[in-house]
This record gives sequence, C-alpha cells and structure tokens, in this order.
Amino acid sequence: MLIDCPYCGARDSHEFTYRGDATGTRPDPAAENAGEAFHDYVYLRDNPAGDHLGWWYHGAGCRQWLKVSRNTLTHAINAVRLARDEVKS
Amino acid sequence: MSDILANLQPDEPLEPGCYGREGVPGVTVKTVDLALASLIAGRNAVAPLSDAIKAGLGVPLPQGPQFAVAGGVALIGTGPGRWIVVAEEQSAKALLEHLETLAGSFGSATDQSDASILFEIAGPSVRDTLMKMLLIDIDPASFKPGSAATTQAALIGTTFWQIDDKPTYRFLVARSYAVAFVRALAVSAAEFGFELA
Amino acid sequence: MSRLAHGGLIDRSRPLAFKFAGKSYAGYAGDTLASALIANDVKIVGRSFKYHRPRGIMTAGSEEPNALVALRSGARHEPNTRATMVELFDGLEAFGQNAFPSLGFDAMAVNQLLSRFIGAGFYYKTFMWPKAFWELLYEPVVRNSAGIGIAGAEPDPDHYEKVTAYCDVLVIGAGAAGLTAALTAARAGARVIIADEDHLPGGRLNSENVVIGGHDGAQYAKAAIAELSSLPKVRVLTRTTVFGIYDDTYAAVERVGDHLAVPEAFKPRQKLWRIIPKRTILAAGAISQPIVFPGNDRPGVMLAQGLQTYINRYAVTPGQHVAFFASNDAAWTVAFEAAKAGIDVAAIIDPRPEIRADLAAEAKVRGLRTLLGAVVEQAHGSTLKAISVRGSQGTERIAVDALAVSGGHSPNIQLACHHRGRPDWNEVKGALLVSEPPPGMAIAGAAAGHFAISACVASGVETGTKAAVDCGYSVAKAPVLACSGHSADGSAFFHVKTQKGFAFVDLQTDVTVKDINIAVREGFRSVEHLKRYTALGMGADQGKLSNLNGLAILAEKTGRTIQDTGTTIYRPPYTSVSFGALVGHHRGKDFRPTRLTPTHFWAKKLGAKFTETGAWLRAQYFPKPGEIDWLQTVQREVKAVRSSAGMIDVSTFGKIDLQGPDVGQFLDRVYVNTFSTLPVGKARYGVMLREDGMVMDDGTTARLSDAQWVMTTTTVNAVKVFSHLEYCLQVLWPDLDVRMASISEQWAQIALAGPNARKILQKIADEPGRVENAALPVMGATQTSVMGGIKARIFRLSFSGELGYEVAVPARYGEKLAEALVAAGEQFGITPYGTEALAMMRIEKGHVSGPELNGQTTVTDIGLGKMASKKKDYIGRTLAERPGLVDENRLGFVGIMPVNKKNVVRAGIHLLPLGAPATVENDLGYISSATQSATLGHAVGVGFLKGGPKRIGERLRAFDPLRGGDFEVEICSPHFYDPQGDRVRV
Repeated sequence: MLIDCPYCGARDSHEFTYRGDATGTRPDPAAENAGEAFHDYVYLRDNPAGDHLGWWYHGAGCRQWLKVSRNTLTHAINAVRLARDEVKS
Repeated sequence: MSDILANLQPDEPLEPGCYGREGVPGVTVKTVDLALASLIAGRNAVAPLSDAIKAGLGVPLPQGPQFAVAGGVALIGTGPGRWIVVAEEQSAKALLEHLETLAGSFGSATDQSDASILFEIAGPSVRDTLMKMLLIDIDPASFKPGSAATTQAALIGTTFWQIDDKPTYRFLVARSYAVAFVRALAVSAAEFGFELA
Repeated sequence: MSRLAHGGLIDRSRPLAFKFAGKSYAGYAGDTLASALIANDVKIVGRSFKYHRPRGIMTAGSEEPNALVALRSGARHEPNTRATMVELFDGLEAFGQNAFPSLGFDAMAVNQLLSRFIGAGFYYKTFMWPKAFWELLYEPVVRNSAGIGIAGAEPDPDHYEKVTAYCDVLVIGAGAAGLTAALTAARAGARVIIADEDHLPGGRLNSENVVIGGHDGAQYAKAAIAELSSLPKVRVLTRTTVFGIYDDTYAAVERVGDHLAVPEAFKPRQKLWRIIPKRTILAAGAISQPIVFPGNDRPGVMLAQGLQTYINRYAVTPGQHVAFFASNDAAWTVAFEAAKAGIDVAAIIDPRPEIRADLAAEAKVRGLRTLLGAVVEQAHGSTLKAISVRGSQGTERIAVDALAVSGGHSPNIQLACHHRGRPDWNEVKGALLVSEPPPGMAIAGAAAGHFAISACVASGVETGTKAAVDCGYSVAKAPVLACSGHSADGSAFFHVKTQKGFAFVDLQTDVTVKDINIAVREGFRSVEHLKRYTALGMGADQGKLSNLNGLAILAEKTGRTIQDTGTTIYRPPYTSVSFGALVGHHRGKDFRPTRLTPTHFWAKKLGAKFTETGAWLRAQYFPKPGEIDWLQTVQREVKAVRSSAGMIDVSTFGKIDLQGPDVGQFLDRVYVNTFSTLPVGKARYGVMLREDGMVMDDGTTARLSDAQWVMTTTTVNAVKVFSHLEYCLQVLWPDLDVRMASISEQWAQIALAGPNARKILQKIADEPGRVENAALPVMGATQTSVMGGIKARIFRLSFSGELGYEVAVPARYGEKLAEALVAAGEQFGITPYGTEALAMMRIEKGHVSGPELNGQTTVTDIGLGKMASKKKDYIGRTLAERPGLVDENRLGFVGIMPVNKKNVVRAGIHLLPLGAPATVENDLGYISSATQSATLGHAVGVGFLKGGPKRIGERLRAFDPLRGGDFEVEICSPHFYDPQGDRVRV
C-alpha cells in the first residue's frame, strides 16, 4: 500500500507506523468531566467499514505525522495531510 | 548466503577491495569525511530562516526533498523545516558556528559530523544494485541530479541525493549501521562486480 | 520412445541426461521434465493424495495437478515441484512422491478399497474413540499420510534477492495479447515491464499453429521479444510469475537459477520483484478444463491443450492411439494436428449434436472417426487401455492409450480477483470472466474471454493503447495485424452424469463427485463450505482445474445457476512461492541490520561476549582466561566497580537535542516531574507516561544552556519516545517553539563508575578542576574537552550506585576515549564491564529498568509516586488518577530476599502466602528482576507485590514450578545497597 506523503511523495506503507483514530482532540484536563473525556479519547473508537481517518507517522522518512483518510475495505487512500497543515486550517 | 558473506560475521567490516564478478566493477563505493549539521526552523520561521541562509550562503533552503549547493555548502531537505547541511571545506566547529550565526533565533543547528558516514556510490550498475535495497523509484524520469530522499535502504535508514547524471549518489547512513550497509550493498552489487575504496 | 521424428522447439543437437525415480533417461535442451518423461514412455509420475492412485502427466503448464515430483537431493531438495514447469538440465535428478515402496507399486493404494469410509469429511466422524488412541496411534498415522511431498531438512544453501521496480505499464503474460499490448505501449515511449512464467515468451504461440501478420506465431513472438528487449525503457522478465496483488504493489518471483544445476556465481537462485505500475494489463491466457467422468484420472488422460503443446512444442506424444473427448472446436484442431504428425487418432467424441461443416469435412478427408452427441462413460486400465463411449447407437469400447479432453476454457483471472473481486459466469463464452478488475488493471486476450487469435491480438492493442494514453503517452495508429488460427467455438461441458466409479473433480485432493454428493446431503451447500468440507480446490494448484467443474456440479445438485452458486475467494499466491524469495537478503543474522556501538571493536579485542538489545550488539561481559562461567566474570566486574573503578559503553541510549524558547514548557508537559525550573548545568531524572497513565519510559534530561537541552531515553524505547515527542509537537502543541534533533549517533558515551572514578576522569580531562566534587556535584552537567582538545560533555550520573560520570565525545573518538580511560585507570585496576554487571548493580540499588517499565505499571507502582507533580498537566496525568490505578492494593515495587541464602531467586517467580495452595486466586505478585548479587553474597530480587511496601517484613512463598523452585522469602526494601546514596556523593 502506498501512502502519498505530502513532503516525500508516494511511499510504501513499510515506512510508516500507524497510531490510530485521528478524529479525537485531547480533552481539557481542567474540565469537570476530564476523567471520562480522557477515557473516551484514549479507549473508545468507531470501527467503520469504509472511510476512516487515522494518524500515520512517517518514521522512516520525513518524521511527520500525517492525517490519512483511508477506506478500510479497499485500502484506497482518499487524502493525506501533514498534521501541521491540519492545525493551521 | 551470498559467497561474499559466507564467512563474514555481521560485525566484521568488509575490507577495501574488489568483490563479486571480475572485471570492471559495476559499483564503486568510497566514504567521504565532511562536516555535517542538522538545521531546524523554529515555529513559523521557515521563511526568515531561508532568507538568512540565502543571504549568508547564496542559496535558499530547499522546500522539499531536494539538494541545493552553493559555495561549498550543500543543503538537503529531510522534512518540513528540517535540513542536513554538508560542508566540503569547513570543520565541524566552523560549520556549526556559521549556521548558528546565520540562523539567529529563526532556527537551531546541531553538529552531526560524527552521526553518519557519507558514502559516495557510482558505477555502470549502480541503479540495478540500488533497486535491490530501495523501495523508491530512482529511474532518471523520477529521480535526477538535485533529487534527495530520506527513506530506507535494505531496512537501514538513510538520506541520499544524486549529485550528477552518471549517476553518482551520496548516501548518509547512521554510524552504527555503516558496517551493515556496506554488507547489504556488497551482496546486492556482487553480480555486477563491487569495489570498496 | 514417443519422441516425434520432426518438429518442436527443442534443440536436438543438445542431448541431456537425467534421472527420475532412480532410472536414467535422456532428453533435449528445450524439454521440460514432463516432456522428457513422455518421450521416454514414463506413464506414472506420482500417486494421488488420499487414494494413492497412479497418476500421469495431465497438462503442459503450471496448472498441473498430478506430476508433482521431488527435485534434487540434499540441501536443495524441493518437494511438490510440477514436472511440467521444470526446465530440463543435464544431470537433473527427480523423485516420485507419496508412494511406497515405488510409484509402480504403492502399498497405500489399498486406501481405494476403503473409499466408502474415507470420503469427504471422514475425519470429522472418525478418530474420536478411544480418546487415548489419538496421541498414540491416530495422530502419528494421520501425520504420516498427510501431504504429498516431504520437506527438506537442511538449510537452503542458495541466496535470494528482492527488487523494487516502478513502471508505467506492467504486462502480465507474453502471449499474443501480452506481446501486442507491450509493443503498443513501448513504441509509444512508456516504461514497460512484461513478465511471463515461461523461459520462452510467446504463450500459446509456441504451441498452436497460428499466423500473426503473415508470420508463424512462434516467429512473431521471437521478433516481438527482440524488439521489446532492444528498447531501453522496457524490461522483459522471463521465468517470472506474477503471483499476487498487494494493494498498489504487484509481486512476482523470477526463477533466476532454477533451471541450472547450481545458480551462477553471485546471482540469486530466485528474485522477488515488487512492481509498482501505473497501469496493468492482465494477459495471462486461459487453460482448458477437464471433464469429470469415471476413471478420468487414469495416466494417459490429458488436457487437449496440453497434448497440443507436447506435439507441437516438444515433439512428443503421450500415446500411440489417441482419442479426443471435447465439446469445442479447438480440440478438433488438435486432433487434426495429431493426425498430421503421424499419430493414430482413434476417435473424436463430442457431446454436441452438430459440428461445423469444415471440421466434419476435414475429419472425413483424414479418415478420422467422429462420434457426435456422445460421451466417454469410463476410462479403463491402471494406465489407460480403453474407454467406454456412450452414443446415440449405444455403448462401445475403444482401445486407446491416451485420451485428450477439453470441457471448455478457463481464463486465468485469479489476479483480477485479488482485491476481493469475484468473476461472473458468462453463458455465451462458457467461462468465468471479471468485469471489474482492480483499479488500473485491464484484462486482455484469452484472459478476457477472447479465444480466437484475431480477437486476442486486437484486445492486446486496445488495452496497450489505453494504458499508454492513461500514462500520458500518445500512441500512433498501427496497421491491423491479419491473423488466422483455429475456430474458438464450443460450449462448456462439465461432467458425464453417471453413478459408476471414481469420477474425480479435484485430482490433487482426490475429491470425487460422490464427495460433492455427501457434502450437499449433509447441508454444506455454500461453495465456501463445499471447499472446506471436501478439500476441493485446496491443493497446491488451488483448484485451477477443479473449481469450475466443482461449482457447476454443486449448482446442478442444489438447483441453482452457476452465477448464483458463485466462486470461492481468490487469494495470492497464484502459484506457490519459496520462503527464500519472500525473505531475500534478510535471513539468519541478516534478518535485520546489526547496529554496532562506537567501542564495539575495542570490546571485541578484549574478548567481550555480546548480547542483542534490539538491533544493537552490546558487550554483555568481558571474560578473563580461567573464569569458569559468566557469573564468575560478572561478579568480578561488579566487585571491581564497587571497590575501585569500571567502565561501560552506554552509547545505545537515545539522545535527543532540544533547542528553542519553549523546551522547558514542553518537558513539563511530557514528564511527570518539573523540568522548566532546571538550572543550566544540571540533569534531572524523569519519567514519561503514556496517555493511559502507564509508565512509558524513563531517562535523564540535562540543561546545557538556557535554550539547549539533551534528553536521554532507554535503548529500546528511543524510537518510540522520539515519535511520541514528534506527535506532541506536531499534533498536540504546535504552538510550542521546540527544535528537536536526534543525536543518538553523534555522541559516543561511556559510563565511568567506582570510588576512583573522579581520579581517573581528571587524568583525561583537559580541565581537571571542572570535575571536582564542588564544581560538578551529583546530577551536574558540563561541556568541556578531554584528551587534548576533543569536545566532551560530562554528566555526573550513577546507575551503579557508586561515584559515577558519563563522558560523551563525538562518536569517532569513542574507541580513543575507551583506550584513554583504560590507560588512565590502569593503576586503579579499571575494569570494563557489560550489561550483566550493569543489571546486577542496578538491582542491588533497587533502580527500575525495562522489566519494571513493562507497560502495566504506574509511576506509583514503581515507587516513584512522589515524583509526579500535582501542579501541572502532563501526558497521562488524568487517567493515572483513575481509581483502579491508585488503589492501595495494586502490585507495588518491593525487594525480595531468600530466607535460606542458598536459594536462587529468579525473575518470573510468583509470590504466594505461606502455606497457601498455588492457585491464581492466591497469587500476590511476581519477581521482575533478580540477580546473584556479588555485593551481598546471595541472590536477591525486585518485583511487584499486592499491597507493596506496606508488607515489608512479611514472609511469603516463592513459587517457581517451571524451574523447580519453591522456597520462603522475606519482603524488604528494594534498595539493598547503600539506600541513603552516600557512595554516589563522595
């Protein structure tokens, strides 16, 4: 499977490590329900048969964290963005 | 087990010499000892850092995986806001100070002159050999003089770039992996003839 | 001998000698093992899987189910090799399989008599009683009879390679369609790779009499390959099977040296090609299908397409009196070619009621007997002697020694289904075809159902054009090639309906029609269930000749259409692949690259024994002559450190350079303790958690200047921590201005420890005053130089518990530093030590390390709860406060001492209350690290106990059933040696 790294270009998935779901945001630790919010953030996941948004780390390349939209059934990759570009928008 | 390696332990360095098929070697390798540093841009500081480097060295920082050279200093992009700097004629200390002065608050430099071994690899069969170690495309249509890549060669991390269209390549490999890298290169090049300087 | 006097693509000027099943034979260059065996009248080449029936060669290709032989002997022994795919070489040695004592007489053939009891699924209904017989009798018997070939037991002496290649267009198959497609794309300037499993490209062009563009098919193929090979952007791969698609990557194996007695010097035996194309054309052709009827497995029954190849390409005939049983025109063409070659054609038997006038006429002219609307009811003889034919006039027996069958054609669409696709049944063509191949793939030629040569060629040109255009090239319109060949008409015919005898559906797994009946009767009606229950399609040929007939028969028996019955899932590999090819260079010691420390060769010269820590080789201990075992060595090393001085390379720890205005804040957010307040010139021990509250790693971070810090991590977690920190900076806190670079490789670092450490260090430091006690107190960090001008960083850190320093110099000076320390320390008896002594000393001190940071422990569990700041957020803080992670009954870090000092404490021992039965319910904890302490004179351990340090003083049971230990221990503080830390402060 090839992942189109925005910096390096298309690279084999061997160069990456997969972290997991990229739809969550780190909760506010000072909030009242922080414990529950962190529990959901760390443990709960949707498991779609279809498009999925995940974090991939290009460790063997530019060492950038990438947000990848990938179809879990066909492995087709819809979009790849640098984490730092995600945050800007 | 390839004949070359039949008796060589993984921690025994290959001695300089010719290996594999006899005749004109298909691949030649030598090491080059140059000052190296890593340069990293501060937050939102890529533009001013690049301006400062351009003013000081004569060439702007590459914005992608490319290799640019001016005045005896080569800049190789390894990631967004990150570069490796190679100096032909400066000492490690001089290069580091030079970069720190130019970068100012816009970036940080670290000496990396001992972190990697720089291999210069060339020869008529160099592409056919590298195809056995790399997962990326080095066909002239896709990878040209000035192209660079940070990737893996035979599972060993490397940053490499192409310096001319013979083609000649320069590979930076972590010092701890240097023996393993030459070993993998020798096996891959054996059928073409391999010379280690 | 059954060699024809003329013809064939063999080289009669190059005879070759070979052996099969102990006998010597002769063949020619260009023969396969199969064609040479046919030339030598060898009828029986194997015994079938279950019933041990004699089997002969059935095909001329990789779909061969029967002729599975063992090739070569010794270390290169290779079982289950298809004789049809073996290029004959001089001195080749092959053996029959699955027969005892010989292929000719196999004792296990008695199984046929038991066929009533060993039909499909019999092993679900047998071998159950008595229970004790399973291990003693049933399993050994089953194990012995399972499989066909026997695997070799010696290491593979050949080497293998892997290659990655990119291209615009990958053409799979170099037959008529593949060659025309490749030529079209290549002439347009595209980067083309064309691969064919044969050594001679051309596919059916080398076996059939066709004309392309005025040239004989084989000549056309030769010229096409010559042109393709001459183009610099084209790569021609022969002897190469593309065996699977893995997302964007096509995998192929090139059999570089299989056809040689020994691979050429420096070349691999096989090469794995990982091909990443922009477009693919699957031109893999089609194979003919057998017909199911009683006795259809008799040696002598062969596929018509195979017979054609043997006659035309190899100039051999499997029989002197050949009959044809087929439902398509192509087989009639083969019959005419056989007759032309001088072979006696006994009859052409065709179930169709009518035949084309021109074919009937030619048969008449040649004097060939034809029976229309007829079927073969049974094949007779242990090797074929006769057939029973049932026609409109009744049944008759015809004497034959070969029967060529063809029930239709099966396009080789497997690769097109490797992305979960399924083919559709095309009633008109009588074939399974794929309408939606994987992205970027087009199917051409017979693989797309174009069985006539002109349609084949046209589809090659069409797909080649589209592929080149899609890649951005422009294709000049080429003149249409005029082609002529045989008629492609026919209808699919699957089986002869009868109740008699063994009618085989899958020859490789010995599945008969009766087995399908059993499966249906017992409710296994889905095609996937049929496969697993009967084993149909599960052999090495993966059902190439059986799946279609099987599913057609299943459809009939369950009253469904073929389309509704569907196929099983197609998976890679298309044909079997050796492990060597999949592994390439990375086997044995090269499984992954070895990392060497900067002092590796220095340590080796001193005789160090090395251990693997991840990819690193680290010195484990330094034995001296006369020492009887590692423990003696290690205890000597420890005593030397504690009494005077020792040195160990600690370069393998991760080292990270952190610069920028926000480093202090960043460190506060990733460590449990505070770093932003750390003064310049000091180091601090820190613990990092995962976001779930568990300890991830520990290390020391030093502040070298206002804005420059250096962090260390453990060796094994270096990569993990770095990627974690990158995640924090890029995803969580992109507003922080931190510039992070790995400097693990830049610095060689040696730990110097012992009461004389400072004295030794001062001898090599350029400014000895900089390392005086007051100038560099405990946890101090300084940048200075050593050995006459070599820049150095010196950290006053101790893992051993003695006065200690870590000295870092640029890595090229690592050995020089080691040698300088040895020289400077000689008068103090400085002793190099390794990872074993390091471990012994840190356990004596009660420091936690890898076995304690096991992903299941919190910072409180490991006894460092006080370190965790309550004033700031950090990664893992919130979930570390979960009730379950702060419960006082959690397993807490303690020391363990044997009551009887002679008992050996080991890691892995579990702790139980005294006198309580050893059950999981009574389990109180475990020992994580242990050592035979040189300093204390007996074994001690550290570990985790329910309730932790509260239970210091208690006596418990140490239970070690696997290693035979069961003794009393006392719980104590884990800090056995110098708990106050006085020795570090001297």
